Amino acid sequence: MTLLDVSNLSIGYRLRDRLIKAVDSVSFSLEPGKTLGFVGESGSGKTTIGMSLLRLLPENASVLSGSIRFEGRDVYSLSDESLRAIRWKKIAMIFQAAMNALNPVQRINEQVAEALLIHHPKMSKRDALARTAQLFESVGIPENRHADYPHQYSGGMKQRAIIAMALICQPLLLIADEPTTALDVIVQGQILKVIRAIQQEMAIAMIFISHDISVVADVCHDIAVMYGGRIIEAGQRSEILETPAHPYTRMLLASNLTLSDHSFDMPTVHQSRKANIRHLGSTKENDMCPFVCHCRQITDHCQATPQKWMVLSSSHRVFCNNIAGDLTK
Amino acid sequence: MNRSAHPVVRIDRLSKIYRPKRTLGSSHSSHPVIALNQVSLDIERGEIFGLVGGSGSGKTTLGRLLVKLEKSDGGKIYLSENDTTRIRGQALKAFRAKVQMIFQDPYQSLNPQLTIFDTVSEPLIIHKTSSRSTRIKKVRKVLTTVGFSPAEDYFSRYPHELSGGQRQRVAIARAIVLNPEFIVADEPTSMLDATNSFQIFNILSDLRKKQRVTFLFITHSLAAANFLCDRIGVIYHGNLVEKGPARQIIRHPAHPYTKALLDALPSYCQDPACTFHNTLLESPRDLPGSSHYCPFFTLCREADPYQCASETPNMIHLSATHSAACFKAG
Amino acid sequence: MPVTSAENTFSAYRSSRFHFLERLKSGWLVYRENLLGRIGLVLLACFACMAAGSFIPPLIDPIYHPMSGVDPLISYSTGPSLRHWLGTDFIGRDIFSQLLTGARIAFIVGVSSAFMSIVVGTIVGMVAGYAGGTTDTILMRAADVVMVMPTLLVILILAALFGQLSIWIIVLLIALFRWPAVARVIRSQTLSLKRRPFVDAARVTGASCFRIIFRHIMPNVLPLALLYMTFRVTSAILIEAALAFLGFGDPGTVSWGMMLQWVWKTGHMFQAPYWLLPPGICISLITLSFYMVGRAMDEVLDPRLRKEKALE
Repeated sequence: MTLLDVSNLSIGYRLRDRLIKAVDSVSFSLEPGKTLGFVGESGSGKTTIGMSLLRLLPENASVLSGSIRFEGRDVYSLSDESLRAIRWKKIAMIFQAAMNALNPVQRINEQVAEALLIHHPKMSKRDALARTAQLFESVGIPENRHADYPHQYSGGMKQRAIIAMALICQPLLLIADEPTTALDVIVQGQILKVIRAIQQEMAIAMIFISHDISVVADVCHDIAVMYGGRIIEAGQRSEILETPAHPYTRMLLASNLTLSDHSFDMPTVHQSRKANIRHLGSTKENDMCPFVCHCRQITDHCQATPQKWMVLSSSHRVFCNNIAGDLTK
Repeated sequence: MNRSAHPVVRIDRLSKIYRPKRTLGSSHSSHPVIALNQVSLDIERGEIFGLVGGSGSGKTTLGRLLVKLEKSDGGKIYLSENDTTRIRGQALKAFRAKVQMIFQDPYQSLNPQLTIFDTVSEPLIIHKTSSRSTRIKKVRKVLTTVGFSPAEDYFSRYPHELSGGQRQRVAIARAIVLNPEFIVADEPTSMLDATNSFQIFNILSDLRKKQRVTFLFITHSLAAANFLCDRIGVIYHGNLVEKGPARQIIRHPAHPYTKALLDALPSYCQDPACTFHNTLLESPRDLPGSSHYCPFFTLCREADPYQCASETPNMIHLSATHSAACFKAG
Repeated sequence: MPVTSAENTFSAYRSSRFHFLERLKSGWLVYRENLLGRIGLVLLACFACMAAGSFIPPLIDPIYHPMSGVDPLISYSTGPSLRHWLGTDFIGRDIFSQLLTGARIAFIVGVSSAFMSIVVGTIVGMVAGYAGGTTDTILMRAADVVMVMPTLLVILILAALFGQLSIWIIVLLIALFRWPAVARVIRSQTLSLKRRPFVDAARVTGASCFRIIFRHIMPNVLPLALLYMTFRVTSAILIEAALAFLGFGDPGTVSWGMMLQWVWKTGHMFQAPYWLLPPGICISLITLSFYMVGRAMDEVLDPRLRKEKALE
């Protein structure tokens, strides 16, 4: 059974004088134990999607259309009570910069155990601490450091504790929003290793959000590339990395530097970067290509007609009309 | 060593120590932090030298010392063989015209109250190099160089109207408007998206090719250094642990920290031809009791429990251009 | 794209420089939503009209002169009438025209002393914050010394020593005593600005300290200084009123504090509400309205207080 099914989701932010669409007609689904990575530049709407899954959108944002179904139930029609039963117990989240939000005056293992006790009030504190210790072991926090205070931890250790806190209730789905940004390179490598290992060990489904496609490629089975609030290409890791179809995906991959000596041929983008946030109201625009301002393969056709999803394989689809002949290259 | 005799920048045993301010109420006396420990480097004319290290490695400190935003606590800095360690007054002002810096965060490094024209033309005004009409020509020229066209459209814009990538290009324009000899680029792309970063790399690379500007490129990513740099220096906790030609460092790293940096890259960025080195300990070991030890001792899987814990390794020359500070190297 | 000469471009660049106006406009949009701010502004407008109108009554008839105009028919305090809308004081001077003149004096005292203390405070704050070290210590200790002095008391003593002070001396004294708080705020703002990379960037290009302070730091602290000015106005008006009420005001001007003093001294405190209330209410309202304007400006300047969140 599908664990999470998002269909046609659009989210808008109310500003003083207008409504801005941050997420536009996004659909995807996630099977249990699978990992899906969202990759895109800042402002592409990937964080907003993550927040909306837990109904944690800021006050001025609202779901304009579409539905989010978790285990077959619509998240946005749940009562507060049943929503609380899902949050953290079934869907947990690692927030951006969460490691700075640890309580500085409480021991780390107690903080993590507390997250467990809140959701399982009948559990004894001793059991909760034992479970915390077990989890700390698997995220790689040495035993003599379990009862330290946050300021005694390095950034990498804090992030490990945050991961443990997210996993403490054994959720079915973990949403990780840029969990390795702002970490040291080496620490980032270690954290990614931990996330990968834990995901396999606990067979947990995961949505991994990052601006860095190489990081996403490291942990995810499937990748969705976002641009301007839309998913513009989605597919399995190998499909996206080896046969990228959308011009933006290709550009993203070409600009991602690697150690091998492939030829770096990417024309620089000189056009002004505007209009990746579209205003609501003009329905005509609705299915236009979001990448139209920066695409180097643009044709007159692109601006005139709405884009359609092209299905390239059972798992690989791309939101571009201009693909057919192009793929053979 | 067969290097050209006149490097643009020569650093000789440069050190920087941050001493915590004694303030009332702080009960525990914190120790001084050695941000840079006797680092020596030559940067040749027209090359891009990559300084690679993790956070807190002292790489930004080195950059700030080189542009004289901070004072060193020992060692010397030479610019074209002139000692510039303690210059001030007019000499310092002349130095400022020759050495520039590009900062990490383009959202913070441009004054929000100044237009793009005012920002880019400011160095020209400060150094009184030109009349107003030549200033306009120069600003237009550098803005075009960094990819704004038509440049005039951006003259009266303010930073908040531009994207991160555009702001960083404005910052580059300001840095090159005086035709400096040497530019320190401190992680210029770490706040930018991949496509914008790539553009910045191309601009820096073009500047080097066309205008023979010398760069110190500070980064945490060996992949970026590999793409852009001729030579790479790897810095760990204030110590330069390895330096050499970029290809050499990537293909045949000698120091375990360099190897760990290579391992840490996501697998998509790895070179399929390279092996996994696995030099990092799962959990760090305790510091040795002695006062001299290898700075990487606590994390090194290959460390010798006697030698590495009792001596500080010096740079060992592995070839004419490649050296590493590790007993096991070579 | 037509080819333009450098000079043309530059003039185009100059003429399109309406950033300040645009910011003012967007600031006004936020301000407008604040009820307190609107009330404060309306009240201030009323007071401004009063101050401007204060020149009219003496022109109509010399008996309406607030200081020297004595109604030949009345030599004692009377209540409101058609001839004297708010009545007369103890020697038959028109209270309404005194009230109007009082508004003018309040504005002069408030705005000019606030302006002076802002200028001094901003410069001292910026210099202390940017220079740091000994300069900072000396300037801030000086500020502390001035700050702990009770303004009113010191001015009273000075007045007692040197006799009656003119209104401009009072303005100057208030300004001299009220800059330290501004300096402290501006200094802390400068300290945080100083660490912003754009100041480093200016240093790397070789900018002098003078240039960094006035070209890079000042535009960024000016809004805050302006905000503090509205609060300084309030306190200056109150100090002047208190001084005048205690009998140390400028005897050559009619301020609201002075009017209150006359009520008190001539024993009309509880007999002539038509005389006591107008200046009392005016003092309270003008300080309140400056305060409300200040609070509303606070919201404009501090984006965190704004109700809407912008898209990241």
